This record gives sequence, C-alpha cells and structure tokens, in this order.
Amino acid sequence: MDIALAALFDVLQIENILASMAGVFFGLFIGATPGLTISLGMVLLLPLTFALSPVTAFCLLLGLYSSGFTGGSISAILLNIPGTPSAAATAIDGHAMAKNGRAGEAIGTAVTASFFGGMFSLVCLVLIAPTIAKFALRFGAPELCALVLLGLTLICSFGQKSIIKGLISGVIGLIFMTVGLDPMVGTPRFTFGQVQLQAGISFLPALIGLFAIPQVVNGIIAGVRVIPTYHGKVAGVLPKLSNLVKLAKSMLLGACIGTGVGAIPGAGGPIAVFLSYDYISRVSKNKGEFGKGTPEGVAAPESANNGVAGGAMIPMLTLGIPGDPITAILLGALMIQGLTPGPLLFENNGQFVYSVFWAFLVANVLTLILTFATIKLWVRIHQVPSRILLPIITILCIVGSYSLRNTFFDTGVMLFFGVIGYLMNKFRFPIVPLLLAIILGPALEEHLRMSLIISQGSYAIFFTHPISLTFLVIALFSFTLPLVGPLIRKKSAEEDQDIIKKTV
Amino acid sequence: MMRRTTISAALAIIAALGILGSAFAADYPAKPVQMLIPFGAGGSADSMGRMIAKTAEKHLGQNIVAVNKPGAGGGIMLTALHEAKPDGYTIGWGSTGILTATNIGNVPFKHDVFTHVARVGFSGMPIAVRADAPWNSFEEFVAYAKENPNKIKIGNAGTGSATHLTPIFIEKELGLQFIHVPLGAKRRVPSLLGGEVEAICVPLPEVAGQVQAGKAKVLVIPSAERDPGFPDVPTMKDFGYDVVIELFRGISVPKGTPDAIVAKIEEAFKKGAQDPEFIEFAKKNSFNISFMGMDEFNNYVEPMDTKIAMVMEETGLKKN
Repeated sequence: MDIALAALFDVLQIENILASMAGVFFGLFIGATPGLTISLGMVLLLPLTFALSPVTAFCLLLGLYSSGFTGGSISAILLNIPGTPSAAATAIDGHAMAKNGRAGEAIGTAVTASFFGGMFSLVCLVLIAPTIAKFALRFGAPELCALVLLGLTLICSFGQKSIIKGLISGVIGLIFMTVGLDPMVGTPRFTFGQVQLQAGISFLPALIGLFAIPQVVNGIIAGVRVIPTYHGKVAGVLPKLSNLVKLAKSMLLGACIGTGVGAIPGAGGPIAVFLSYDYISRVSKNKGEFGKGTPEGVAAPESANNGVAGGAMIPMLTLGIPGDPITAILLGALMIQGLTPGPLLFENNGQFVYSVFWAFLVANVLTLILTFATIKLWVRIHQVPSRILLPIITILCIVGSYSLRNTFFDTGVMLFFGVIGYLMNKFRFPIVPLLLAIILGPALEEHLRMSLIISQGSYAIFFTHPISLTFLVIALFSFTLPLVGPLIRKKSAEEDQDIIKKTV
Repeated sequence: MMRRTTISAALAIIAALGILGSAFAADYPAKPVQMLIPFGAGGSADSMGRMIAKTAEKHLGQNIVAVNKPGAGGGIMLTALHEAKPDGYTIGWGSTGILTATNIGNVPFKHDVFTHVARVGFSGMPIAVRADAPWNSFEEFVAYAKENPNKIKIGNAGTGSATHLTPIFIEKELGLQFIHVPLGAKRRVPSLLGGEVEAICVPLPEVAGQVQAGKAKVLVIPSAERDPGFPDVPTMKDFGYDVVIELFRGISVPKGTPDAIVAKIEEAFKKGAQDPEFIEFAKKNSFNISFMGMDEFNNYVEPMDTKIAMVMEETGLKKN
C-alpha cells in the first residue's frame, strides 16, 4: 500500500499534473482532427519524453491516450468525420443527434461514457489484470479468426436498410484488402509491380477518405453548408442523473466488451466498438431509435472505446505484450526510459506500475473536466462558414493521410477512397460495411490461414476450440437474425392482420 | 545574342551548382539528417534507432530525425532510401531485413545499391520455448524433432524474414522438419505463451523479459559467440554446426554518397555507439554493441547475403 500512496504523491506533483494536462489537450486536438491519430501523436511526443522522468513521460502519454479517443468522437458527432477509426460507430447516432440540435448532449454523453469506460477498465486493470491476461493468452489464431468473423457479420446489421447493398459494400472492402503482400507466403498480389502497393491499403487513409471527402465534395457542389447549423442554445451539456441511469446498461456493456477485447493482443479496438454498438441496438428497449440519434448509440461505443484503452494495458503491464498499436508505442517509451517491459515489471518497478494506474486515472478525470469545459467551444464549429471549414478539413485530410507512414501514396489512397465514398453516398450504399471489411478483412485472412497452418489443413480446429466455437455460434445468430428477423416480424404482422380481419 | 546570353546564363548556373555541390560535402551536415526506420513506432528496431540517433547527433553536429517508413517487410523504407538523393541527408537504419527483403523480391534491387556505412551491433536470434516445455536443452529438442518430423511448430515474424530463415538453416543443417508458422511480430510471444506453437524464433530483446520472469527459456542462440547476457546458452557452433545468423543493425546510405560524407556519418555513429547512455540502453535491451566500420561491415554483409540467397533459392523463396 505504501508504494501505491508514494506513487500517488508522485503523480500529483505539479509537473506531472501539468504533463497530464498537456497530454489531454494535445490528445483532444489530435483526436478531433480528422487524419491525425493517437499513434501519430504518441510518435510526435516520444522524443520529448527522452528528457522527462518515467512518471512525467507516462503522465503526458497517457493523457494523450485517454483523451484522444474522446476527441475522436467530437469530430464524429459534429462533422460526421470520425477522428479515430473507433469513433466511426459513434458517428452513426452522434451525428444524427447533432443534426437534431442535440450536439451538446451527444458530446456530453460521449465524454461521460468514455470516462465510465476508462474507469471500468482501470478497475479491471488494478484488480484482475493477471486473470484477464491469462485468459487473453488463450486467444490463438482460431479464436481470433472466429472473433473477427463475428465482427464481419455485423455488416448485415449495419446495412439494414438494404442487406444486398450492405453485402456489396462489404465485399468491395474485402476485395481491396487483398492488395499487397500475401500475409502468409509473401507473394505480391495485385501490386502491378508497385512497391508502395506491397504494403497494402492501410485503413486509416481509406477511413479519412470515405468519411471526410464526401462531406467536402457535397459542400462544394451544394454551395451551402452541409454541416448542420444550430444557432440555438446548447442545451443539456451535462447529462442528467436520470439519463445516466438510463444509459447505465449501454455503458456497462460497452465497458465490458471494450476491456475484454482490448486485452486480447491483436484483436483491435474498432471490433469492440462496433460489437458493442450492435449488441446494445439489439437488447435496447428502443430498437427503432438507433441510427436516428439515440444517446444509447453514443454511450455504448464510447464506453467501449476507452475500455479498450485500459484493456490494452492489461497484457502490456502484466506480460510485456502490447494489446494494440498504441500500447506498442507505450512499450517503446518504457524501453527508452530504461524500464524492461515484461512479466517482471511489477516486481522490479512496482511503484512505477502504480504510477501508471494513477496517471491513467488522472488523465481520465482531466479529460472529463476539460472536455466539459470546452463543449460550447467545440459546438461552435457549427457556426464556422463552410468556405473556411471545408478547406481546413481538406488540408487536414491531406496532411493526416501523409503523416501516417510519411508517404504521399497514402494521400492518393485517401483521395481514391474519397471518390468511392462520394459515389457510395450518392447511390445510397452504406459506408460502414465497407469500413468493417477494410478493418477486419486482413485480420480474417491472416488468422484463418494461420489456423489452417497450425491444424495442418483441418477446419476442425475452429469447432474443437471452445472459445472459437462460441464465437462462431454467436456469429451465426448475428448473421441470420437481420435476414430472418424481418421475415418473422412480417409473418406475425400478417397473422395479426388476419386476426384483425377475422374479428372484423 | 539572346541565345548566347541564355547559354552563358545556363553555364553560370551549372557552374554555380557545381560549386554548391562541392561546398555541400565540406559543409555537411548543413541541415538535419533524416534517418529512415523500416518499422513502425514502438518496436525494438524503432526504439534502438531513436536512441542511437539521439547519441550520434551529438557528434554529427546536426539533428538526426527518425522517420518511420513501415511496410512490405522493410521494402517501403528500402525503396525510399534507394530513391533518395545520395547526399547524406537521408540515411537508413537497416538490419538483416535488407538482405531478406531484397532476396525475397519485395524490392526490384539488391542490397548492393546501398553503401553499408556502419554496423552498430546485433541481437541474437534464439529458439525459445515455454518454461514448462519438456526439453531442457537444445539436444533434447533436436532428439524430439528427429523422432517427430513435422510435429514441432515454430513461429516466426513472417515468411522470408530472418526469424523464418534461422529455423530453416537449422532444419537443413540437422536434417529436421518443422512446421513454420508466420505468426507476425505482434503475435509471436503471445502465441508461444498461450501454447499455440511449441517454439518461436525471435530477436532476443523481445523474449528476454519472459526468460527473466521464468515464463520462457532459450535453447540456442545461433550467434558467432555466446551472448554476454545469456552466457549459459550455447551457440550452434558449440555443437559443431556452421549456422551463424544474427540480427544486425546499422546504417546504410544510397550508393554514390560522397566518401567524405560517408566518413562523417561513420564517425558520428561510432562515437554514438560508445556513448554511455546508448551502452546502458543496449545492455538493458539485449543488444550487443559491436561496431564495424564501412569496410568491415561490407565484408560481414556479403557472405551473409550469399548464404541467405542460397537458402532462399533452395526453399523456393528467392524471387530476385
């Protein structure tokens, strides 16, 4: 307990609080800016941490880590441009709320849910990290393959207005992701001799293009603001307690899924976010409200989002294995500070590990406070004329897509997907299935083929592993319900009609 | 008249450029130097690169800015380095990956389009197994593998990578057969600990922590000499096998970079590698500092390339 208290005092030193604050501010900016990612922000801050003490360095980086996700949802809600891939699910209901003049409430819900998710994952991290980490290690290739497949079945849920169009959109995404080096044997596929294409199409430039470019193009064509204007008072910024109670189920669900998926090395945050959005939209009492702007549709993915943050730190701190690309950078920062990541970190640097816990807590609290304090400022983006806003968005997209891997090729990829996104909008194809396929496609192929190498070609591996089998069964339900559901409902409606006719 | 003026103006510009060019070498470095890193932020290639950049720039007299160019098994970075002006302002933080990526055909050129300026050091590439594995020595592991061909699954960072080639070298030399699983760098250690594969080939820094914590053990490190951090672990040479493969890290530049500039870079990294801060960092991360200047480095790379090319040829991986 002594070291826990000592660590707390350490984190509460003025320079560490200032570092947290700087990290949080920077994270909000990075997250809210389309194209600038948390990973990029970390890379930018990394050289600065050379000169800092380990605790100060981690206060700075964790500030960025926890607020970056929150920032990502701000632009998703206000502009329908997710600042981070994980915010793509938030955009669905968050932006719908903004269009109805409830932007302030949407951001308020997002921030509160993020805080809840972050805190939940921190509690898990402190109390049951070793247990979770042990369980997460049981996720081998077949388990991951089944989990990813489950994620892909969401294509059906997110293309609900037209399942055919949803499937087409998803398949287009899967086709694009076959470009690049074969993940197993390294043969170039569809690269046309271009080395740049060997690295495949990275999903971040695609994400930026798909969401941001159609907004810009529509704005130019229409000559008017496409971004909804709302001049009234920003009402209901602080979520009411009664509303929070209503959202408790969504937030808890999101936090559990987020922490769990975050802890599995190689699973990835977006899958957690979409899974929790999909799941809450099925178990919620107001199913019909989803997609039209319900706070539940914001709370679940946002809570999952920050749950992933704490979840990903579980294998990082207990095993020395990063849970996602961002914690991989955090591990790098640990190494630069002269601390050896690995199972012995806790024994050798116990006080430092406690400092990481406290720093994560402080970062979450500061994110909550700073975002609430600035919501009214953010919402003012609505009042910026589009002749100023659209060029700024365009420049940020170009800079952002370049900076991901320092190559203009990715800017080209961004523009290419911008055209696709525009055409898809125009012909009313849903974008989310394409996005899901782009994010999950490579993982599906990799884990499927890896499983088959391990099993020497036998597909039984997916059914003999209990975790994998469980996911496959859920995936089957997830896939068939949206297809069969309307039929059943239609049938019962017809029966109702019959009954009504008979009684008449 | 007009034409003559144009021509003389053009000549004057060319002459000026020539003077500028030679002034360039003397003034080098007049602006910050970009150091390309073939992997994303966070891995050991990245953190090691950033650390040496930090200590070497003190001696170069200009900032060395690390730029990540991940993708295509290092192919993206190698292409960028190949296409960069040979003026010393773009240098590459290369590794054994230079030899594997060029031979497997990720890029349409060979490693000799670069001048290999300085090797900073290397890490061992051990075969690691779980701590509770039934084999307590490399001999026991080999005996089991001999009796059970195509049974032991060995994870690597990807087909054609150095961690894939190392087990292939061992297979060939000892007449064994493994199942090679291209787990990727991210999932190597989790897969070993989770029991998905029996063994992995992995750069020592990535598994050292697990070994110290008693979660994994290393059976053999096929370096030229025993690793100072793991003096009890044998090399392949100890068993009389001619298998030496190390994950070297060093600086390469595009061919055609002026000798004077190359010498300055070599000197800066030599001193950077002797910096107490780098020594401390390397020790903690199982990186063995063992500096080689340009000539020695090239003599070291050449036979390794031949050997890698040979094995890739035999296994059908070679495409360039």
